[in-house]
Amino acid sequence: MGGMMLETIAIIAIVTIAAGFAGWRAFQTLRVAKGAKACGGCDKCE
Amino acid sequence: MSSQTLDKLPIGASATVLDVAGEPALQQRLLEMGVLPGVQVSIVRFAPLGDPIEIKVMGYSLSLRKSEAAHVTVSA
Amino acid sequence: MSDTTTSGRHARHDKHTIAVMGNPNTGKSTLFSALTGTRQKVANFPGVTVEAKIGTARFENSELTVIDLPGTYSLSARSPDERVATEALLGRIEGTPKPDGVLIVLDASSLDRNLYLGTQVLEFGLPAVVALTMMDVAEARGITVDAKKLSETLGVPVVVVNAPKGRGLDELKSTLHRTLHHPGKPLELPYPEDFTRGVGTLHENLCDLGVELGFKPTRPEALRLLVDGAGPFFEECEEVGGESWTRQFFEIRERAAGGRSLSMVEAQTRYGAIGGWMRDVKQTETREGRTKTDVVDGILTHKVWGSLVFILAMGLIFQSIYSWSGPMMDAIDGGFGALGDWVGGMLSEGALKSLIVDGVIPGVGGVLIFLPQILILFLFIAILEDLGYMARAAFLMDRLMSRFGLNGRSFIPMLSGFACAVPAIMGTRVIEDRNTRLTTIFLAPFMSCSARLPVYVLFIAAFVPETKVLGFLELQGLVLFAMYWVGVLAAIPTALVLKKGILKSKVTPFLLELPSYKAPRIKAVARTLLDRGGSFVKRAGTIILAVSILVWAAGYFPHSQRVDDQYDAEIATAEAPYSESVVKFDPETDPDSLMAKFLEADEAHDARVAALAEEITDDDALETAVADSKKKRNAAMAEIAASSTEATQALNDYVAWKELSEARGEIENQRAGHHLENSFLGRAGHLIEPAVKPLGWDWRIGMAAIASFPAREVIVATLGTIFNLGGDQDEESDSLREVVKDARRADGTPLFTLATGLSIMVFFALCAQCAATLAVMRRETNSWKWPVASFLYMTGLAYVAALVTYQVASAWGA
Ligand SMILES: Nc1nc2c(ncn2[C@@H]2O[C@H](COP(=O)(O)OP(=O)(O)OP(=O)(O)O)[C@@H](O)[C@H]2O)c(=O)[nH]1
Ligand SMILES: [Mg+2]
Repeated sequence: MGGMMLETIAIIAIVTIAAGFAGWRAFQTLRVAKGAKACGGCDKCE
Repeated sequence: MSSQTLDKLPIGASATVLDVAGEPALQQRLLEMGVLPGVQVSIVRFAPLGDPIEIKVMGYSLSLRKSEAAHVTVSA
Repeated sequence: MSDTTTSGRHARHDKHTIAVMGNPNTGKSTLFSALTGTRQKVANFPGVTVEAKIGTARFENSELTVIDLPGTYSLSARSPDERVATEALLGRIEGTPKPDGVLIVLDASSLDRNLYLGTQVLEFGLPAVVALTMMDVAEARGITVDAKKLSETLGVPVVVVNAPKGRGLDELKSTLHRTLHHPGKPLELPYPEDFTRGVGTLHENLCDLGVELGFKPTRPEALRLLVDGAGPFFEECEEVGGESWTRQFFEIRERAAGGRSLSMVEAQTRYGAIGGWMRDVKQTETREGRTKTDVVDGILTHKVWGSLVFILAMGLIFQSIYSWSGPMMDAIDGGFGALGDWVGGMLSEGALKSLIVDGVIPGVGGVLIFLPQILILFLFIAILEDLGYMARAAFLMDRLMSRFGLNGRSFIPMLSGFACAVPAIMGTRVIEDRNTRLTTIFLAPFMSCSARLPVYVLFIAAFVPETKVLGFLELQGLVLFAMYWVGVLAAIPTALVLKKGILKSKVTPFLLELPSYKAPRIKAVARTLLDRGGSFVKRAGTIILAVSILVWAAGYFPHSQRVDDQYDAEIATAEAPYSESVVKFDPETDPDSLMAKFLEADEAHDARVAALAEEITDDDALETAVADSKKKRNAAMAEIAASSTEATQALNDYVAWKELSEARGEIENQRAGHHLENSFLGRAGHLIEPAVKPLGWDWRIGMAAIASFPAREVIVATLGTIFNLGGDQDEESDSLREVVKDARRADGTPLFTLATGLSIMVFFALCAQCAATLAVMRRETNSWKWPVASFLYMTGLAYVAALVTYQVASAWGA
């Protein structure tokens, strides 16, 4: 049962981090749009 | 000495620029790029569709449209 | 600790900022990169750098802030990129420090023209150092430049550098270090008297205006204003000074000109002075024969040969994307398959295992597998850019582009749009006319960028047969080529509507320098590839990983226990008729058992069949070969079975076990499918399904397409995740290509047909699924209007085109 708990916590943590990261990237993209970030904002082409 | 415009010169011809006219922005750009009275220019080639043309001026290649070259008077 | 503080203070004390100014394509960014140890984009065409980039160069104990700037032919800026350069020199760009020195980069192979801007900058009187680049090119053309004499003439130090070879950099740094401590002396040129007086009068006039302007304009700024009589500074003065100022201004101009045009006066004075200097500084030995550039141009811009070479090059690119990438793709694919199996074996059944095996590995791996294609594409683009072809392309295309109201200049950003729309949109800064620039920005995302490549490759590999046309052209490569045309064909009418409608403008000048060809440097190309490849991998490991996890979570939860219980019961029912030895058999744990021996023989047969299928193309021959293999297997099995009575029993058990395994697999698939349908993703998917159904898509494709809003290639990741979650594959290590082939609709018919595949590709060729592009569009146009319009237009177009494609293709029977 302890394993289950641990697994649940791990999943929640990973998904939260992923969501946070995606949100942060969305925010960065908006900064590019507003001109606050100099680069193009797509790291395909730094 | 007779004169004609740059767009009328055939491939391979060289001439000396006599005057550069055209609306102010175009004239200024041409002058900055080295197309000004007294300078030697030669026609290198036309683009496959006949326009623009490539000229050699001040040791480098410059391309410009015929309509723009028409503002440049050269000695013939 | 105290040590670092001291040196820190020392460094601060020495802090200087220099701006790198020069004509386009003179090697500024190459030099900047070498000085600061950064990697700026460098290529052989004018207009590569379009924004100010800041870096730090270290010399002994001091630090120097260096600003790399777009190239410009003069300080009379007309296009946005030139404006960046001139404004940065004056310290008028937000977030960019005001330079207290300039590094003037002069191309030795066209020194006269380079000095035009050089004299303009030197008139400002900032401490300056000249870096003389392209000495090698000049020498090859028989031009020798005497750097010492040039230095004496200009009154500033001149250093010969060759940044690609790393030569002259230390000397340049120490010269900069020395020079920046002393104030510079403005260069003085022999202008006609009227002109000089005019500049003086205007300068005084501006000083009076200075309080209201908020800064004190310098004399060279007055000169620029006098000659240009336009631009942001002029507008500012007009606003502050009102009508009376404008009237005075034009009076001053009138008097200063002395009958000629002011730009003529300026140009003749500058070039007059330059011509005089050159007699001492430069020696030209006239070479007979044509230069290499002339010879190459004779072919590449030739009516017939040029087009032929162009078509051949394009063909080569698309063929090689298919034929060269195979082995590397297989290796990556195999690697991820093995990783999935390995991790799958380590973790016990549950959410975490599903997250990794169904979410992360197919998501990230599914995208990474396209690394080889991306690298090949970038290899060709890097070669074209380094060679000097881009400017020629603009030269070739100007006539055609002007039919659509555009300019040859628009062609360079559009070409780079095949790599990525973001730099393409930024590259439009070289276009002077605002409406032409807006049109080009709007069109850039129609060029098939590298993010579309994975989508095309996946569906082409799955549905277009691997046959050759005319004996040597791969059909798959041809279809890929066709996909690239979809965007171009959509762009043409769009351009016509825009330029003839809302974005009309008068014909804009096309004055473009054609740089000399340079052999692409292998090191530089390799570095570009490493950079691009690295970024691609980084993307897969960051944003694509995150989206995969989120899509997985949406597709996994709520994961109700009730559903699990239902399928557990079904499995129990299925197992009921079999004996315990059949139900419990697990080849992993009893590899030496008799049953495992039968399995071995069976698997050997499967492997033979797979190998045969690769080798034999003829259907009948294959059938006989497979039958042979089957006989072999049966014989092997019979032999084992005959060895003992236990073995005979084991064969019966094995056959029963196989039957049960299939039944269990079927139930597990149903379980996975049921969970997916029940998940948040599934419920949302069913809501949107009616909208995507006419395109031949089911809800899973629809959701994958929506989830790819951050970037197009994400669809490959999300499809991988969704199909893994949905149990749409038999074994863990199938590649996405196989999964896509095997996916079924609810009624059991194949989900993807050629028609669906085409419809998805056409949709992705035209849609606006790229957040970065929309963001940059907003920034470059300074309004949300453009990105919103672009999104709506492209999405609408993509939808309609995909709809037509699907309906036509399926009516055709594809
Ligand atoms: N032969 C030779 N090539 C050079 C030298 N310096 C730079 N190059 C090449 O010249 C081309 C242009 O270099 P960039 O550094 O991009 O030029 P830039 O001045 O930054 O150009 P823009 O950003 O367009 O203004 C590239 O192909 C470089 O590899 C040099 O000293 N000799
Ligand atoms: Mg540059």
